[in-house]
Amino acid sequence: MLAALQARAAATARPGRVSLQLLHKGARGVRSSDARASSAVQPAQPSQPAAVSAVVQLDEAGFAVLPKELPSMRGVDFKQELDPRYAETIEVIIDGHPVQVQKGSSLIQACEQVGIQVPRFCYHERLSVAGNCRMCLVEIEKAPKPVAACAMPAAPGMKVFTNSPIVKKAREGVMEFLLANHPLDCPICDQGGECDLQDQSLFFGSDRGRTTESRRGVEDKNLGPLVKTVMTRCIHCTRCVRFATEVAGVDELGTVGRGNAMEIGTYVERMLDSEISGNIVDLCPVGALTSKPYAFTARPWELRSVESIDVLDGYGSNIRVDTRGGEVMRILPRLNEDINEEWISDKTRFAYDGLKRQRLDTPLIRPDPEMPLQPATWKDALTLVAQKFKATPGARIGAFAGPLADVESMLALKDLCNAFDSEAIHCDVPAGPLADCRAAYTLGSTIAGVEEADAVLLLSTDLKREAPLLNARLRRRVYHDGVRVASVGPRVPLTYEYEHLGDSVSQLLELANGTHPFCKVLAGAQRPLVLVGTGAYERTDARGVAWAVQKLVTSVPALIQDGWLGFGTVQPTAAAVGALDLGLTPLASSAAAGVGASDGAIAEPLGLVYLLGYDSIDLDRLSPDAFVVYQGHHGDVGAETADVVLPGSAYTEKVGTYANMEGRAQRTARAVSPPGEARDDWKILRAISELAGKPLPYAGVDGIRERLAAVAPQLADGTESIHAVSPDIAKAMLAVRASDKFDFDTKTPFASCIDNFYMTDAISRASTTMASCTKAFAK
Amino acid sequence: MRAASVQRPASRLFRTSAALSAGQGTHIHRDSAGNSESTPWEWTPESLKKIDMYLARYPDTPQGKMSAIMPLLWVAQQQTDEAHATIKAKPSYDGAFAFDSPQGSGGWVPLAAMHAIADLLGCPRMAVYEVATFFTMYNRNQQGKFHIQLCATTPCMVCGAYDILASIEKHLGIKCGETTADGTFTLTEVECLGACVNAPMVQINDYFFEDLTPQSVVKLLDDLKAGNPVKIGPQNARVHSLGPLGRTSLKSPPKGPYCRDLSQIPAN
Ligand code: SF4
Ligand code: FES
Ligand code: FES
Repeated sequence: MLAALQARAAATARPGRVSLQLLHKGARGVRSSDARASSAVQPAQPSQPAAVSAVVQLDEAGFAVLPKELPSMRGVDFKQELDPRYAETIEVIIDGHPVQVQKGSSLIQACEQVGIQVPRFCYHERLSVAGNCRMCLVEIEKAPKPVAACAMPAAPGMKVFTNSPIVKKAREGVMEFLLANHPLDCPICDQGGECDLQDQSLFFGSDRGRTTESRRGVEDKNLGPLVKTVMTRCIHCTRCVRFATEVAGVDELGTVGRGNAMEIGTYVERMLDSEISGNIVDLCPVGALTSKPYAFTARPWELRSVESIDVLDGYGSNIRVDTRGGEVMRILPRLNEDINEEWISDKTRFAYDGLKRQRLDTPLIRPDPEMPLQPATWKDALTLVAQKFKATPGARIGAFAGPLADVESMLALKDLCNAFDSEAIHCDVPAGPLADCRAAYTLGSTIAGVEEADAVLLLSTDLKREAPLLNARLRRRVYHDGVRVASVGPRVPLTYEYEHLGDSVSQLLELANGTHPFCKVLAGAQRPLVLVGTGAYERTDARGVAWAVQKLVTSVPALIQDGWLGFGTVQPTAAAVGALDLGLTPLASSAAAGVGASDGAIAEPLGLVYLLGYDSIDLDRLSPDAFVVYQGHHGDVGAETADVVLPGSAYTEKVGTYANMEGRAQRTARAVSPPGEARDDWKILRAISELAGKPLPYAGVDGIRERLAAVAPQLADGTESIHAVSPDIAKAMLAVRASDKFDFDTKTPFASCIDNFYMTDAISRASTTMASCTKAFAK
Repeated sequence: MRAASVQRPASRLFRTSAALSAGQGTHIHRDSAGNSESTPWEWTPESLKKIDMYLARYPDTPQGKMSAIMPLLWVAQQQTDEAHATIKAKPSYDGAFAFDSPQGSGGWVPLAAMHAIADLLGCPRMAVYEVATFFTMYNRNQQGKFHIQLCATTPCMVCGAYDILASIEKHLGIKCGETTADGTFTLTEVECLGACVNAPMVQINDYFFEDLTPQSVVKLLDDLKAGNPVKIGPQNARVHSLGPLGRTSLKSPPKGPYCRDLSQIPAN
């Protein structure tokens, strides 16, 4: 938006924070519009940004004399790079400069391609064009009146003016109408400082209003615990409505009434029940829709932003963590076309208050099984754990990595246990029988590739909850291209139409045997896709299910072909793919798994249980004399059972590698420091190894990365690219004997692996926002 | 206080029109005793026949079917018009006629009916809400038995619509947007109803009453309430919308040249 403009104006004033505030003071001064305006016309301070003109000249009527020409939108440099994908270009003349733009672009896109920002409110590249705010008016030679650049296709030879006097006047007119009903409540508005209307009124707003009427009042709507509404601020751009209907697939939001009485709302009181509703907060160009949990907690210019990634689900959304004074204030999406585009799910965005509650910030030791945990020093706690490692035979040591564990700490955990002859290192992944085949436990098609699929089969997954943004991509595919989606699993609303084939193993077997009618659809598709939810493997007959899935996948040739791997698992946790890449043993069934009940790998009851953020422990199956170490950041179930608690750091406090469901390794960044005495997770494990007398062969972060590169190079190269499995290998690994026989449980229906989207891990379980969402939305 | 030195070259009016604010109330649904999601709604056989007729007019696609939202809302309003039979309408001149069935203006669309429409057409409920709130013709709340829609657009206003309004308000003791305590009358101010030649006028349920005076409108309301016959159309001696001099133009077939040969067009 005008951020570039603003940055430029800011650069001419003073660096950093100060100039930003000045700018907004400028903005307020320029458009204060009530009766007190006469006194508000003060000579501007000399330090005011250049764009607002140093000294305000007044005409006889007392109005500011504004420059006739708009400030140029940037130092005009029309040498642009063309996107090679769209080789065809046309020539248009923008502001007197002949430029090549891609054929089929609208004028607003054409201007963007050559670096000219046209102000806008309603236009958004990911939503349909509404053309209703009229802020993007430009002049076209020979056109009788200014035209909306967002809705006008660029035609060859078109002469466009983006900063002529007519354009300026038109935009000023639009701005005046927008402000006529917009409250002057910027000082108490959460959007203040990052508001498109505020920014643009700086350039197109008048220094006073001409209306004598009171502004219209609009009732605020209750959209639920996440989105706060102040509907008098709404400028009716309808971005929120378009997002809800086009991307999120909820039809509850709309425009009611007409003319001056038009409102955005739900007509009947309805909460916005969508896993990605928080994005309308980002989309709203004004402060009509703001974040409820963030309300009145910070101003944008006080925040320090760190670019990171999200680990609360397996999607790996790119995020920006905004902090102030060592505290995470909010989380926003960051653009990544291959993963989350510019959206994030509500859990990603709003669970951050869980980072501040129930934290483990000091080592704890339980002196006696009957006594509560007591604070201890790092030295005592680590020495105790080290002793246990030395004293327990390797076969009786078991380690369990939870859903939020980063690759580095899992590697250190594995190396530590291996050093003490233990092979029982487990992860919280029910990938079950397919844990050896990367093509099977990742999303072979890649996330963006889902939009190339032309027939989709879902197995045992509630995609809308397990991966809301993946579901939104699939929705787009269904809506734009009419792709057929079928599901064997829970009958849940997915925001698009799909064929529900059933929810029992019999349908899967029919599909695997090629007798089900949907097999024809898969066989006829160029790029079929089979997505399996991990719920399919959380069953007693997981081996049989895996066999049937493999049989199905290998029976459709187009599923695995050169350049297309149409088979994948929707991993619900951020640790899953990394853990399997490192060779951790998946638990047969995380829900049913007590410690010691995994895959039959452990014969003896465990004497030392090491829980790395692992909370799904089954207390009844833990042998009473087991010594339990819990390393993690939240006082969740795992910590309560522990004999020693070692405080680790959460994803906003450490640099950690995580592989998302498509196998893309990305790193989190340290936005704040861990609370109290908490430490980086892998360093804690390294320290134990030292004290136990078998130091791990790496000391610094470079060391562990080197080690990672040796064990799992695909996680360590730092390129954030996906290392695809070759089709031949995938085929070979997935091949099964058709004659194998399994006992199938035809009674238990296929279910999703999560039952409450809002609470899936220690952080979201500690979040009050997520708790209120659970109350409002969970079935 | 505004400082005297500040000139205001123009001031603009952004007032919400009475029709929208006073007449139609808010654009947000509030549950009330007779109007909530759980209120039962059944289409009558006649309505269902009409619905079939309307649906046949639109393409049988999700988009096409949504075009039927407007006629279906109207069918719902026809179905809820209970007062029609009690209005003894007398045509005021030859050729004018009274409707033998409710046309829709005397009814309202309950929320449950909107939902029934959405289910019938397979479209989001919001799409129906959006249409129903956009047009003042759809009443989203139960109106009085007689719904007076008073036109106050320019021609009627010039001819004294506000005097008529004042007279009605005084007589019934209600303001625009309100319903009398006995539930007999609802008064709404609306924009032009297309009878400007015979201004000022009101529409009561399905009928126009034109050429009103502050006195004649009071009598009209009393007659309606008492169930007496009422004259529809001009309340004075006017025929159709002829001016005082009677018919002055278009008395003979228009002279040529014609854009098409009218003689070639079969009669009827
Ligand atoms: S609420 Fe915000 S996003 Fe929605 S229409 Fe209003 S201004 Fe636009
Ligand atoms: S951006 Fe073009 S009309 Fe809104
Ligand atoms: S102005 Fe009243 S009917 Fe046209």
